[in-house]
Amino acid sequence: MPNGRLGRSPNIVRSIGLVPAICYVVFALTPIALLTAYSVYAQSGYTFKPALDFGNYASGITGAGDMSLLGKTVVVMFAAAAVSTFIAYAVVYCVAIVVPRFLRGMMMIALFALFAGYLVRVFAWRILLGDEGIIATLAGHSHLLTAIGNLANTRWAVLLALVNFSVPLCILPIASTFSGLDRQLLGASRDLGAGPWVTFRGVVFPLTFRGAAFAFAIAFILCAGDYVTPALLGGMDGFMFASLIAQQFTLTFDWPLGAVLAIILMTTVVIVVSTVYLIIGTVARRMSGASATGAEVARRSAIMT
Amino acid sequence: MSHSEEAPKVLGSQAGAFTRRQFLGAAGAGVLSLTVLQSAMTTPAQASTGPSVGGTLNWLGWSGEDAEAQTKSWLAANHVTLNRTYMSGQSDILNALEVGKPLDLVNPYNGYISVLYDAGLIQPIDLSKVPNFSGLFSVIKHAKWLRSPKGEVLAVPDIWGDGPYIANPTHLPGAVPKSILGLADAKWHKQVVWLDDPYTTIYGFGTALKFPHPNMITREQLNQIIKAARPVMKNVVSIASGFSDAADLLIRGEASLSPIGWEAMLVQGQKAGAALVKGYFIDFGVAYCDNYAIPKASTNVDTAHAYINEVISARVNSAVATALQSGAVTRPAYNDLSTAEQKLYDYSIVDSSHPPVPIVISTPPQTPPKGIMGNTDWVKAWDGLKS
Repeated sequence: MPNGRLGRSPNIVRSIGLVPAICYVVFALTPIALLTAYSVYAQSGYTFKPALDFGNYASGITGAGDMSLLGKTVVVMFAAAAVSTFIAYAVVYCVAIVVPRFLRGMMMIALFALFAGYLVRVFAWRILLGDEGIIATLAGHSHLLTAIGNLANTRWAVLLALVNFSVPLCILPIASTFSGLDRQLLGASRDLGAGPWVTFRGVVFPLTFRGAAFAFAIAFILCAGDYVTPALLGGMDGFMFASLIAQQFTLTFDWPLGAVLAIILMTTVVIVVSTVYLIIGTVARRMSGASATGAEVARRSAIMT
Repeated sequence: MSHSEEAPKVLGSQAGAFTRRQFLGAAGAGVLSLTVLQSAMTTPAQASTGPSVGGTLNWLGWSGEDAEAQTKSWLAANHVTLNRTYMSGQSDILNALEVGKPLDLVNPYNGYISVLYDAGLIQPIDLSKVPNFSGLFSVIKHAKWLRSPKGEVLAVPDIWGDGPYIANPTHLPGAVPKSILGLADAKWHKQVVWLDDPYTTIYGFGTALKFPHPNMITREQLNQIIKAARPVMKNVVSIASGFSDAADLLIRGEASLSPIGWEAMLVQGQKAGAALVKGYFIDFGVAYCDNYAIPKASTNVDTAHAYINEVISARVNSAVATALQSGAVTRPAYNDLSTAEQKLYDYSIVDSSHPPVPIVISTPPQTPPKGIMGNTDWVKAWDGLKS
């Protein structure tokens, strides 16, 4: 029945499916296209005019201070994303292996942690690390706590706050991949005499590395564009590349240069995230390759079970 | 039975009852008659366009300077709705007007009026619609920064301040030096919180170095400023995003001095149980004046003028000055202040032929003459000092 209800459904579904694509084009790609257009405009006083001026790219790339600031920003944000991913992965792994039935509960807890609000957490860290904060109060004769208490207004305070904010975000994709992990493979690996490390290397990590890579990407992308946390916690070390971009739009009114710097940051983020994904994937494949025989046997054993 | 036969039964039970079409025709004729009658009764003077106050006023400026709390009765009596947007910096005004945000009133400080005028974004004030302008203190009433090169008044002041430093005396490492350059001393290490303000900073150090025109400096002078500021900036523990942020650090003892301050920080300290104090460097800190200006694209100009007049009336202006711990701009408003409020500021700054601290333009030109450093150069220098 070509004109029956069943015959019409695929077209309707296809049409409805276009809506998210259109939204993506409008709300994600269009602003980037506008930013790219602004990057070649020419600034004149307090206005800027349409032009095809690539001089801003030269200014943005060759400005020595700009690139060293970019490097500093990437180092701090990479560290924050890497530490967050590591912590999140370790936590999820422990829960998934020891008490897997709590995996979904842990995802909910991670979600609840995000309800606290971004600025609330930043100010909480400010109070915790302050000279009269709880850490300083408890420091007493403890050298470790004294050292932690001296972290206020430093790059380390920024790192702490970013990790605190990013870990719940990282937990979600990692937990999602772990929830799809076939536990029979773990049982088979154990039955074949593989210890925890071999099982992790040969079975768990190759099957869950994508979650870790995705978690890193989320954390890094969010951290790279953050300038509020460094401004509030970083003291004299709190000026980041994103702050420089904001300045072009709020202080110097150089929107074309601001657009160029934003594109440079976006490109840097894409390069870093892609590189990390390739590295993690390569490591995962090598890990699984090192115990390929064991993994293959475990897989066949699981199928037969 | 047709619908036409139904209709008379719906509208009336008697034969010859009013039909719907007849009703609409009569109503229309009645409205038309009333309109003609009203027009006929209007005198020629009323028929011409006079000032009309009412409607919505779209306002962009600093929190508290909208004066909505103080003008509630006036707004209600004149059927005006004040649609407020608070800004985080002067550039918000320029950005908003450039992208075409509909605004009727904006709130620039004295150094920003010329920026908006040069960008063609604000219109002259019709002083005949702001009679309270005549009551302004002499210094601000006759200020050059208030006027265009043609002498038109471009804005009306609403509050002013005098740029003190704010300190927490319980944490000070010693007496505050008279000169800003004294903060380079090692005992001030990690004792200073600095506001993220390139203009007050560079202008201030230019004043400390005795440059004749600290907002129009050469490359060589800017380099001298950077050299003088760097040892002081080494003692800075944090760059504050705003006055409240700086006060927070002073209250919690993480810093003991904020060279760029505002009297409202004293109130914040009081509420938190910290007795902050204010003082003045002999060579740093600028007096300023915030103003109301009317964008060229305003669609409610008469109401904007009327609101400005109300904001600088004695009752409202004294209430706003008290609420914001700032200076009142007119003598009648000053007289309405309490004795303590009157003593908060040295009013000779706005009411003397030789003010002790001038209200200056502390910002550089966006497009400077050859050899003079512009906005971008200042901001870049500030970025270098911060990192």
